[in-house]
Amino acid sequence: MAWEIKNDRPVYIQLVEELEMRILNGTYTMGTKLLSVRDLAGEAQVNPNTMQKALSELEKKGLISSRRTSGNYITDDEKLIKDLRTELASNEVETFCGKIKKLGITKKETIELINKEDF
Amino acid sequence: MLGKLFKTEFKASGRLYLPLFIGVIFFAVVERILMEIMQYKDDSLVLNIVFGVITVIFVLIIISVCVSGQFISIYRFYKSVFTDEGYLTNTLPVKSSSIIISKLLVGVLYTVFSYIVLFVSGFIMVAGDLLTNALNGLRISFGIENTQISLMDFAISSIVNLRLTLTILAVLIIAALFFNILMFYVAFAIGNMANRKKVLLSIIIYIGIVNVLSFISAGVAVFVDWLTWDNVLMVNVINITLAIILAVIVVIGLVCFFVTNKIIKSKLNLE
Amino acid sequence: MSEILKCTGLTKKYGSLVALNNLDLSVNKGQIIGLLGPNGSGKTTLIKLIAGLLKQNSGELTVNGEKIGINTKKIVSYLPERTYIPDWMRVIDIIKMFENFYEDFNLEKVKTMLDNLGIKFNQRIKAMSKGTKEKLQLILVMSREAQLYLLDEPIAGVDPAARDYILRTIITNYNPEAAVIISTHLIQDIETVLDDVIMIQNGNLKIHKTVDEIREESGKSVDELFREVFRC
Repeated sequence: MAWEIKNDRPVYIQLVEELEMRILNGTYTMGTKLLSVRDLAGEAQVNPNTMQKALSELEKKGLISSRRTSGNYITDDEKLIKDLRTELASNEVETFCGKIKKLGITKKETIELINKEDF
Repeated sequence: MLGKLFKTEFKASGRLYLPLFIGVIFFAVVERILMEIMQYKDDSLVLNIVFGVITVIFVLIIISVCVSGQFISIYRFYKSVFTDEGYLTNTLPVKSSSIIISKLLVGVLYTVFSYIVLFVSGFIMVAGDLLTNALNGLRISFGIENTQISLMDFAISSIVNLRLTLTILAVLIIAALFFNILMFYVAFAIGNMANRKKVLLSIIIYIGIVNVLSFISAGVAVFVDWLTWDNVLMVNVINITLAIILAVIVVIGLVCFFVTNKIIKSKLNLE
Repeated sequence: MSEILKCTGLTKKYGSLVALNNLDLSVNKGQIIGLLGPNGSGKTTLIKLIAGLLKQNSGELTVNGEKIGINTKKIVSYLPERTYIPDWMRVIDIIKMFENFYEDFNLEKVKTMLDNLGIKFNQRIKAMSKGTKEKLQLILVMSREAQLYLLDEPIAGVDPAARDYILRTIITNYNPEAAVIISTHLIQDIETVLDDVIMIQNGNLKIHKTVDEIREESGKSVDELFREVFRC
């Protein structure tokens, strides 16, 4: 799976976002072991220290837990993942609604448009 | 580490020397066999032509062995210290002096080997009947049957001094082997400091050094001549002269070594 | 974090040309550093000084607290921009040479990496393409458990697949006890791999910051910043 690192923002923030996305959407299965820092860094072609920094950030959020000897594991806390997913989704919806509102489209019209979308 | 460097260099140089050595011995054997055959049948045109061609090749190989002893050593030194290979050689965790010494020792060793090989090939050529014939011929032509005895007499008469002379001579020959190679080393080290035409410059520097040395040796000759030789045996004159030459060679050789070392250590100019 | 490399007032001249001018620099263990600068800025000179191929005119230069010499050469693994493996050798010969002279050489590592690339032990150097020779050299250099790796232009002139291979090799051999200095003028390709960026120009230190600091402060990639700083 390709990692895309953009130019304009700090690398580690982009890594946090990407990893978070992969955990929330199930690319990385709950409760399983994550690749080692070195392998992840190799895959993403980023600095291992930066990858470590991103993982620490995820650890703070509780999305992964590091076990001293055996590496990093994805959380198996279903509720946490669900809550985070809802939180991210509602953030996206909020931004989206703000833009839609500016266009002067009503909520009803918007829902119709969404229903036409196929996803 | 010197041991490892020596071993590495010994193998790397051997790759170049060995074919020459084998060639010399091989052609000596072929030459000898042909000579034996020709003793009985020397009217065959084909045989004569083959013999001629083989002899030419043999002589060429002998010449290349004579020259190669030092040439290969100098080439190896230049290649591994001052060309792209220098990036490897000069970043090894070893002293620069060890690099020089290992290559120098290997160079001298193979030069000695090449002389041994030449001697062996000569022996192959004249061993057995031919050798006896040659010795007999020598004796007859000098009209003496007891050459060895008269030589012995001379040796015994001046045994003490002769032994010393031979010792000095032996040391001198060995020192000269080192000295010759070191002069090239220093020439290439100095030439390396230039930014262009390094090899050409190195050769010019070598020729320059040789010329300076001939001045020095002329000086030594004058000095020896200037010493008064009253009450001194001829053998002693030879000994003293040889000793002075030896001292000069050792001193200049050491200077060459230290200059080369200094340049490799702190004035290396790899492209 | 402990310091692996330190330069104080480091100056190197070639005749009247000043290649490095009074350079102060410090690199810690565990870092991957990009040494950036236009051609002729002094990158290679700095690397050669650290590798012990050149001597400075003035200033101090230490690796792991020691002046450059046999002891530092033991722990510095250097990849020059030249291919230096003697032509007549086979792969096994150069491996043996590394094994003989470097105590930190890891034979298992070299075997694995050569296997991955399909390079055989009895292959002749003479018969190899330039690209293969360069990869072999990188493998040899990265197979040492060194404390300081100096990679001079490792990705110049290689195709994208080879570049990815090289970067992956550098990342997967990462060791928190060792530092890596990579000199290059192709920043875009490697900037995400770096902790710190050191930019030098005409022998002077211009910038020494982390990649994310640069991105955070300027909102630009290192590459964009580089183009700005060194605009002709």
